[in-house]
Amino acid sequence: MLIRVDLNWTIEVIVGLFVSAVILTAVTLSYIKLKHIKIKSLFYLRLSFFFSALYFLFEAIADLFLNLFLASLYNSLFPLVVLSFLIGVTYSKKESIYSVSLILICSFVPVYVIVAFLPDTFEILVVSGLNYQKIISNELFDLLIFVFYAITAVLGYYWAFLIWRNTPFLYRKEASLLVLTLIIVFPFAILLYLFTLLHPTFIILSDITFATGWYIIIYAITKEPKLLYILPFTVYRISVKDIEGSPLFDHDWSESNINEKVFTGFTNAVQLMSEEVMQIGGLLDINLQEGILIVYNSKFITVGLVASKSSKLLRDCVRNFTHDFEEQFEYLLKTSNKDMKKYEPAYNLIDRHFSNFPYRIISDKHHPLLLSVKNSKIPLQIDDKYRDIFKDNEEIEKIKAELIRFPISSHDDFLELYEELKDEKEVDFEKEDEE
Amino acid sequence: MIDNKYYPLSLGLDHPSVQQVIQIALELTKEHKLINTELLYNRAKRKLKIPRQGLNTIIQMLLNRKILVDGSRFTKETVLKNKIRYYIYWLAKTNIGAHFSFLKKKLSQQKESEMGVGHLIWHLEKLIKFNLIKKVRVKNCTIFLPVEISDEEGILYFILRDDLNRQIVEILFEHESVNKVDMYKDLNVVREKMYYRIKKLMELEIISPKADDEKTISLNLSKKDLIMEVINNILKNKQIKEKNKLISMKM
Repeated sequence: MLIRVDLNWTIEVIVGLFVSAVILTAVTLSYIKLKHIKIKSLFYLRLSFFFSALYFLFEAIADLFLNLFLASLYNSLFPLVVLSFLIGVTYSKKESIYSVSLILICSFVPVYVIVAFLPDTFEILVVSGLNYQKIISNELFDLLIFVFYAITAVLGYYWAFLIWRNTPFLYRKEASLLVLTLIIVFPFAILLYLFTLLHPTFIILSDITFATGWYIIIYAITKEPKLLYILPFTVYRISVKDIEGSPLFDHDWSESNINEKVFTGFTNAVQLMSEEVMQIGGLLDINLQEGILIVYNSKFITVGLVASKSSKLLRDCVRNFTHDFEEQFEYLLKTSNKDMKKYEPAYNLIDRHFSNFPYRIISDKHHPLLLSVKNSKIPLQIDDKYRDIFKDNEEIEKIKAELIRFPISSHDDFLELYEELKDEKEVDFEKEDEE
Repeated sequence: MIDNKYYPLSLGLDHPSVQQVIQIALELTKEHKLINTELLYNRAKRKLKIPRQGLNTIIQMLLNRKILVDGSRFTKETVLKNKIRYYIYWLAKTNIGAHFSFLKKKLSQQKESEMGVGHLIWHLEKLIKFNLIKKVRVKNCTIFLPVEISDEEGILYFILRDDLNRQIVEILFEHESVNKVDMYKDLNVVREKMYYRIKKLMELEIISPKADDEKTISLNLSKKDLIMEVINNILKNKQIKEKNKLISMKM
């Protein structure tokens, strides 16, 4: 015997299915594009977007079949959206899933779910003026879901504000997109949701606005996943030295307050005591006043990383970087080659193992820059003259360091004055008298 | 062997786009423009048509490999942040009309600044470029003055810092005009020496012979006040220096 089911195809159902498809597509694309990047906060945020896609999908299905159980079920999914979003945000801020907000929301979830499954929470009504049926929740449940919306909004604003404030110049565009979405799109969506109290069809506009917001956030994060690593810590610098303490490779992400001498001194000292303190393959965290120095000692090299704070992720990155460095430059290391130029390809390893961490060297777009002397292309003839004048290597280095800060035309002026003064004799009126 | 399959290779310095961006930075330098990220970015974007993220990566890489370095060009204020340059400027300020050899000698007395003549000339040229000091040729030697001191005043400081020159001028202050023979008796120095100095002072128009009697000399009246001021300052400074010397000896 065939049971005939009348499907309640309404504009809300169609919008719900469309919104769900949009979010699912965005989540899938972001997963494919960032498959090789393992960022935990991205995982939780993506989970939140996935749950929201399911939320819209089940909402549409519940309305399509006018099924009250499905209505309770899809509404029970909403706390999962909020919780995974909260965990994602918390993780991107402090590399931990725990927070006070998490406890508060978790304690609120059972009440919400129980109310969602109460028999009279949902009912099927004909929408006045539109002449179709839909599932409507009672006022108590409306209030509860509004609380969840509000929590999500506050959380989103806080996160957006922190990211925007800390974003380095390079990622400003994506950060602004993220922040504008969270500040403009989501409040607008909540406002539209409130209008459902006046007329239920506002839910269509609210859903579309929400979906647009989610889509833009996914787009911004997929375009620049480093946005998720702006808050937890700042990576300043990594330095590789061989077992004799000679520098082989150096890379800066940010301007560090840690003095160069302190940094070098520490890595040298650690290297000297490493045999006693740590075995080969051992990791050491040294707390400095301005941050932390993670030192990893391997067979041929010692790698020092300075960051604002330590984390398991960073330690793993250092360990993996060290292994690959040793593997890639095995021959050079075995032959004790100390030529830093030979180790320059290690920049590839930085891209590979520290690809999540944002660069912060350019703090603002008006920050003054200079082209280094090496690339200023001083004419050979002038360069030779400088070498004739400044015979001491240290002296010439000091001059070269200053050279880039003066206009190029100053070469001629200097050389002219040098010619004028180089043979100038001592002024001694007494001597002149005798002559 | 490391598998590079999933990771795009980093841009190398030899990459044509990187070289093009360096070339643009060089052009900006030649145009005497202050390079900053925005200017470099906009110029490169217009000329090279590289996507935004790629261009940002190149600029970041240039910074990371210290090809673009943080810092601004020197200004009149920042040029004095160099300790040695500031010391040379201070010497020129407190020893108006200081000769090159004087500065060289003073610097060689500073333990931490063991530097050659080239280095001193380097700093002097920068101080001149930023209009903090100026150089003046006095016959066959070069003296350095703070810019606010006129050439004429500076030359007087240079000449009158010498005791014999100053004594000649002081005698001419006491007696409006003096016969060279009388002056020779007063000074008690070798005659040729005195005549030579008088000749020099006349060449610099500090003193002049009387129109009716070439053997009698007098101060150049138009410079009288200035000479007086310069001598007073020199004597005052001398006293202060002697006082400081005594204090340091007692300590």
